[in-house]
Amino acid sequence: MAVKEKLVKIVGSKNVSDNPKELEKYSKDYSICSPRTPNYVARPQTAEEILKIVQLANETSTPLIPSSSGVHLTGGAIPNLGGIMVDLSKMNKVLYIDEHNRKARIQPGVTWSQLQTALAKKGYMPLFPLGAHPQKSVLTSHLERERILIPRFEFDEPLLTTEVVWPRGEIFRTGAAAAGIGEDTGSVARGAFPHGPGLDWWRMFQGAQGTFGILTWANIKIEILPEVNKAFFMPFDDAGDAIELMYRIGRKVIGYELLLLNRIDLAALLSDGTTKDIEDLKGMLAPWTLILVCSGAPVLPKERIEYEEETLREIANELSLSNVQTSIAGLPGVERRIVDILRSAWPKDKTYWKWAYKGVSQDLFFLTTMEKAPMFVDAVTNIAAQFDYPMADVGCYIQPIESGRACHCEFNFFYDPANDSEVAKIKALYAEAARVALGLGAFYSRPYGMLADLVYPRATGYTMMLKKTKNVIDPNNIMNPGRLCF
Amino acid sequence: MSILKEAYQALESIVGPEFISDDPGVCESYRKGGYGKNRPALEGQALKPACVILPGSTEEVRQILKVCNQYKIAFIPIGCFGITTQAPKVPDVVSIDLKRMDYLEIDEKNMYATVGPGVIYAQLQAECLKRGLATEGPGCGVGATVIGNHLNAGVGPLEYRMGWAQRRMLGVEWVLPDGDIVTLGSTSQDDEDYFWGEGLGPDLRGVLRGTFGWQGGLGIVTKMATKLFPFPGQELERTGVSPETGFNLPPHLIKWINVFYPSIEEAANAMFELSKAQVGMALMTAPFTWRYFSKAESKESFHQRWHQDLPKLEKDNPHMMRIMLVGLAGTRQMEYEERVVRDVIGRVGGDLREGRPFDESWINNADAHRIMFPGGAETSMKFHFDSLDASMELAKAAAELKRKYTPPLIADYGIPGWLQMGDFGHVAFCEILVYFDPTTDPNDCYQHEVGFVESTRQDLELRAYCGLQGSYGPEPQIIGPAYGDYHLKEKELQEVFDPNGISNPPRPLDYAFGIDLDIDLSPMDKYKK
Amino acid sequence: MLIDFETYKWDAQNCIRCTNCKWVDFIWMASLRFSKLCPSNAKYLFDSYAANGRYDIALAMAENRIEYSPKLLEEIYACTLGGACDVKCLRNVGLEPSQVLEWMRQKAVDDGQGPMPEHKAVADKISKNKNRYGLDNNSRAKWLPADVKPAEKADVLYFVGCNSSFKQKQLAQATAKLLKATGTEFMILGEQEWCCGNQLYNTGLVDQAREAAEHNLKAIKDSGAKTVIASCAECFQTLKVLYPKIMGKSTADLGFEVLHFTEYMDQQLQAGKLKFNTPVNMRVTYQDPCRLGRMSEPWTHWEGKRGKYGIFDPPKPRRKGTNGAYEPARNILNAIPGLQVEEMERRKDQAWCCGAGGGVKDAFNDLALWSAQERIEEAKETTGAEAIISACPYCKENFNDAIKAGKEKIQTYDIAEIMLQAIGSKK
Repeated sequence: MAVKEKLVKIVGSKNVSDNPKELEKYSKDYSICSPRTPNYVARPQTAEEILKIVQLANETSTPLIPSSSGVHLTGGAIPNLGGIMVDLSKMNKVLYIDEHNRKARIQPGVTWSQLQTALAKKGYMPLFPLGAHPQKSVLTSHLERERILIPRFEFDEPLLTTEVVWPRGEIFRTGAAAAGIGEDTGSVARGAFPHGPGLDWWRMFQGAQGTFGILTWANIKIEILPEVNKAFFMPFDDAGDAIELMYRIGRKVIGYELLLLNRIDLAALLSDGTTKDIEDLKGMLAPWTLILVCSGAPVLPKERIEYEEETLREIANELSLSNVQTSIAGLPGVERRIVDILRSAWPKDKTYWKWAYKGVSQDLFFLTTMEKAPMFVDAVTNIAAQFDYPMADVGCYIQPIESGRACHCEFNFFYDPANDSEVAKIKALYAEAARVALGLGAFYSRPYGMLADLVYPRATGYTMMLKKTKNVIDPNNIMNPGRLCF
Repeated sequence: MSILKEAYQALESIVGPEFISDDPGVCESYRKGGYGKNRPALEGQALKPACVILPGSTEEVRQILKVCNQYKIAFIPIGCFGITTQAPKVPDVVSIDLKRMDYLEIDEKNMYATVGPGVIYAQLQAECLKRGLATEGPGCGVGATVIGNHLNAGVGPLEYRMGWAQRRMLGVEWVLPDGDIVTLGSTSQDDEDYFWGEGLGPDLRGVLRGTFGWQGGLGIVTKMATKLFPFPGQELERTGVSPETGFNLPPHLIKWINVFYPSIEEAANAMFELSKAQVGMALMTAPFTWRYFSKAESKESFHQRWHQDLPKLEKDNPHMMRIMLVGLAGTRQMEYEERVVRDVIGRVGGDLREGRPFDESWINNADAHRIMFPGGAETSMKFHFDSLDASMELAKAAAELKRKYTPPLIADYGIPGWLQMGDFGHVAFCEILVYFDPTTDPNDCYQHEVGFVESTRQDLELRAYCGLQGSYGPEPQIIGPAYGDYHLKEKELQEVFDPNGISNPPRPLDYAFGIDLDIDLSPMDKYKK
Repeated sequence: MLIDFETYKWDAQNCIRCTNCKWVDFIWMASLRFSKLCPSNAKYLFDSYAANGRYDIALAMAENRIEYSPKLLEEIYACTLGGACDVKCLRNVGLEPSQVLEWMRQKAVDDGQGPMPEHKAVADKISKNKNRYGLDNNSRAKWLPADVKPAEKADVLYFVGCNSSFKQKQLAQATAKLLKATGTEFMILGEQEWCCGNQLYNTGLVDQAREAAEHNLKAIKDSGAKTVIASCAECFQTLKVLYPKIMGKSTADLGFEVLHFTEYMDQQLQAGKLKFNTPVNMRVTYQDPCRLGRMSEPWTHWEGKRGKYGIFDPPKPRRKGTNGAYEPARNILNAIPGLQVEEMERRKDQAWCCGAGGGVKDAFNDLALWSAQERIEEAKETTGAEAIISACPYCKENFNDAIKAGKEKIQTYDIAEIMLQAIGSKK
């Protein structure tokens, strides 16, 4: 029996396709990664169906590429060597919301927009990255270690337990879910604790771009949606002037969302989705704005905001800063809007904020320590200039992690994907910026696309061990082969 | 016990004669290790190592492992030797004592410390506190090595905010059993840069440990960075003379509040509400036995007083919840958090009392081993991680089970253990402690082992998450089949990186010490040598 | 043998390897650099040189599973018996490593293997000459300064000790002058004073130690003294703790009070009889001698059984170092004008041993000097002190040796010398 027929037997004819037009959608995404076409797309709806697909793939040595989101931004889900796109978007249930333990169990197809709505009804929120695309899979975001906006949660990781189909063909649950998930199933286990059984298998699936297995669901942390908030904006001319402030805020552990954006990124976030509006907003904004949202906890909310605000102002005084503001001139209501923006998926009816300026964005991001961030800003913007890319058009976002012990440093290169010469320029600019940043100490913990070719050769021990581990878990190398170092 | 003369000479040429010994007295002192429920069984079964070696650098460790592979000699890495898992189980072992590698560097700004395997938590904490930072001292005491404990356990109440040890590992330098060096996290790109731990893509810290680690069964970590956290340590005042040493706490910045309840359910409910309110730095219950341990002048006075008071304790069933408040943002935060605590307790109930402004237990936990004091041995019949409600249910079942084995276990009441909140209320930990005399009557220890096995089976029956997943005993063989045969998967991985099977064999699968398990151990036959 | 291993076998078996025995109390640990408390393990590194490893060796000795060798004797004897491990172990786990360590030496002697040759040489001198230096014991009182005349009969007896009698006579002289300055009438035993026998006991030579005890106790009794003052911490601890232990009685049964010189002088200070009128302008730090500090709590004789859970029947008092004589010397130093007293990180019950005691100075001088050098480093780095003040001639002697060997600028004094300066007398 041919592969397609077998797939039909597993998921039904409506859920299998080899139509070139359909396959084309999976062959590329919003990144600069080169397109590659899969052979099939299959849309399973249960773990058992996925298991059978995995078994089939092993029998026939067919690559499998899991895809959960309706939108891909990094190239991680582009099939390198053909194969079957395992499209999990039909597995889109919010399976359970555990208010007591503040977790939610979700399937891979659950989007940010969907989850936000489901949780808001009960007074909760997920842990958002910045400007989450409404169609992006929440599970994938957490699995791929997208940074959350709130550094107060020192333990940082929102992912808890999971159910995963191993490439060797078995369904396995990680963490306490191995014993049970509660939810009226009769188990004492509630499936909260992420570690084990034995080793931290979940870490092997994290950041893996689908090379280690296919998740069927995950428990993730959720938080109480604060009812009382106060946003602060601190404008700066230079990113470097904001760094010490961020360190001290981290030491005092105040506030919820804390992030530093340059003018164009903040403009894009605040805009109505048009290039013109972004240009207008740029004119109103400082080169850099530090945003801190102080939120009340369920008990004595206003009092918490009060002491946090006092602390913030004290820190500012210590640093001889007098720029703590609760609004942005010319933008009435921005202090409420920003809270909505940071705690919502991007509205579906608005052009995605990274695409509003020129069409798409190629993002270069890595981890570093906050004191080094200004150095990277200088380096990357100078490289942009070398490629005749206006420095003022380079988006920049610095996200403190875990009370500021490190930060996510991101650069957005906006460009028109329909303009071939722009595409070529961005590819060259991105490659050069990536290389230079690496030389300066950027840590690409999530090496998408060409970044993998930069980082793995430098990490011979790690690469060797990763390959050997993969060989045990995926001996036939069916999971997204050609990705990362595989 | 001996190894080939050629192998010994090769090892000696690596470290020099001063740092290697096959002297019988030296080897005798590396035979048993310390904590462990199977410790007395080791009297008969533990073997002396063939020699003990003290490397001073990663390069020396690497070369030692190369020699061991060449001559097919088993090795065991040793931190403080606080657990019996580092006692030799096969003949002719090289015990590698890592105490010389006591490198310690703190990046104060970015809040992490990079340490060698010889550094203990107390040393790290001492250096942290004067910098306004802190690490979490685990329940087993701050005499444990930072790396050894991060790799194998690492549970303590400050995890409420700091996360468990496996979450605190950053960059790592790791010598695999065959002598190859792997660096994890940011160190994989720059071997001087330890600031971050996540992988290049998939995170190989997941192979380094999970709920527990390899206990030396997959090579040796020679350097690790660990997260540090803000803490007003400079405000602590050291006071007292042994045994009454402790920190005087500055009440405007650090405070314990104790709340008493007549049941564990009420205590747990308060913990839930407080964690939702996002206050505190540590949130836990503590058993009354510990108060008696702490106040007892001697074993005799403990037993006399404890057994005298036990009937009333059983009747009143007091349970104590504790929360530590820390004003990281200063006095106003303390005032706020204290108001919140009083508000919450006012609503949910509880007899609230301010703790003494003194801490000897949880910042640099000086009295951790008082739990050994009453009987000579303490072990954790239940070691459970999940959510607090799961922990509480299991704790109640475990309390019943403990009574079944009392005596020989020392009598207790209520929930004879502690609960901790983790990750601000998202996860929790429960440990049911048992105290007994492991030496006077060998049958006591045997009964205790039987109780342990029954406790593990209880987890399976109740479908609770058994936390005893490392091979301190036969638990992996019991729970493994129910948890996706994780123990066999571990073994598979180990065979790849330790083809000669020399890294603390027979980790990760250990013997059952003469207990009739009535389980099928045949899947492990292929690993028997 | 004095110690019955069966009483302490339970301790050896129930060591849980917490390693507290190696480290400064975790509360008081203030730095990585000065975090250790066991000089033996800190220098030799292998666990056979720490109490936890020695427990294992003791069990092997008791069960005849290990043969004697030079290395084994080193493992047994390369330790000052400074009591740090005892204090640490008793703090939490309630075990008494000191008794096991002492037993090991007694067993080695009993088996004809111990003590070390150097210890035997000293023991021979004591046996022949009643002092550890092999000198004429009839000249034991020759240190007396011309202007000090001991009383024929007094309530107070000054037990001088071998070191101050023969080697560092200036310490005995300073002590005597200070006693006189406070108006204290005191006796001395003169040639009737034998070596206290501290090292005899600590190296396992119990019988010879008993002989010294019997003699000295009779001499003290015959003198009618109500209070015996020792200026040497070893003599002090021997009289107060070891003699009752050896004789099977309690400190309270001795029939006289034993005080260290600092305790007595602190009493005089509080009573207004000791006045410091001359500034001593110096920045100093104080070394707590082990046998004056943590090892000096009174001995209570106990007989009984050990049962389940390691419980003693009848209950046995534990000596945890809580009530060591830490404060008297501090009170004195803090009262001296011009003296700036800075504390080292490891102090009082957590003091780092100078390295001289327990027979180490004689048999393992490299360990003794190393230990002293460690303490000197601590004094330099953590206090900036110009001098280390101690209250035991052996501490001072060992520090002096280390200072000379390391060409250090720091000085060392006995507290009596500083007090003498402070009362306006240098000689």
